[in-house]
Amino acid sequence: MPSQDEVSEMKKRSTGLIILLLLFMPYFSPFASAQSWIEDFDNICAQAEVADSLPTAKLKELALESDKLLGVIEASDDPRKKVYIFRLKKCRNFFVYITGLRETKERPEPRQ
Amino acid sequence: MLLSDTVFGMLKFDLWPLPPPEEYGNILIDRTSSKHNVKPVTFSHWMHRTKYTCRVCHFELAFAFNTNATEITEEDNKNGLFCGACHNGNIVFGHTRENCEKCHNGDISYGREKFTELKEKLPKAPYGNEIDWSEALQKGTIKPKYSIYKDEKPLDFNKLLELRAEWSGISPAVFPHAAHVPWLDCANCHPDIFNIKKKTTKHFEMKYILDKKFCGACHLSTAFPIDDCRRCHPKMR
Repeated sequence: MPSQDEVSEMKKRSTGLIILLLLFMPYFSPFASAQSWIEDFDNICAQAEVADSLPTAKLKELALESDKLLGVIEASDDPRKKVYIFRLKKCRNFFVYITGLRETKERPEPRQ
Repeated sequence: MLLSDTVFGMLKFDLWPLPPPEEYGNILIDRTSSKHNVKPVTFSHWMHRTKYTCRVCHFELAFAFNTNATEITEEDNKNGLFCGACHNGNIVFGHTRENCEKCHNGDISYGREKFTELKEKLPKAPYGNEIDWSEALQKGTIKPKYSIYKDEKPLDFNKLLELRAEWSGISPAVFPHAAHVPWLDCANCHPDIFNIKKKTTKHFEMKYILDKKFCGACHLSTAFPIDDCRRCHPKMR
């Protein structure tokens, strides 16, 4: 039979272990690795709203960044990836579309 | 009689038959339901568009425009994707056993009583749901959310395109960005549906529209139907 002190020590240890687990759990969850690409996704796709006012060089850069990020998301095992892939492709294709419009002179380069 | 009337009278289009107003824009989603002995999901565009713009579902939530083209699974819904983004028990009823029948009922006219009530309050139109959704939005009768994630607002982009008709005697079609931008994201239409660079708009003809291309992607089954000729060809008499 463990003594009162031993029981109290065991309780302290298990509480400590639970706290540690709770602290580090986000890093082990399937959503953890997604945090960084979601941030990148937000940064890239936010530019779609203002795409028409961006210089062509920036649009081309964004399309390249989108392609790279698509590879990252596709390799992820996050369950949300299919939604993000769909949206990122739409943003990426829109950047390419605006670039194309400029090349066909349908839309002028914005004044900087 | 005007020439346009004569010419238009000779044109024969196989317009899609219109369902009753309460069923217009309703779809049955049945990618795998029936295979698993579950009734297909009924989805009413009219019910959802009073609260959310097309952009929310067809851009933020990644639903494809074509029915059954999106791989929606029960697990996805439980993970907060697709329908589960809102149908989580917090925003609106959740994906729980007691609620199965609310979606998995296989009834294309589900919610018809609610439709009748709603229609009374909204501006009228001659076809489709017989509701002028654009006017309802403009007047603020409905206030659908443009985004469920961010405080994003529609672009202030009101370029009006005038598209010459393929037959002489038919007045040009107009495309007002201003009427579309509050509902959609630029990336919903460009470049997948309208792609000037690929010159696909050269084939911008009624036969393609009737084949669900271009405007036909929405204006055959959800947005006002093309039976309403004058909404696109306003000078047609």
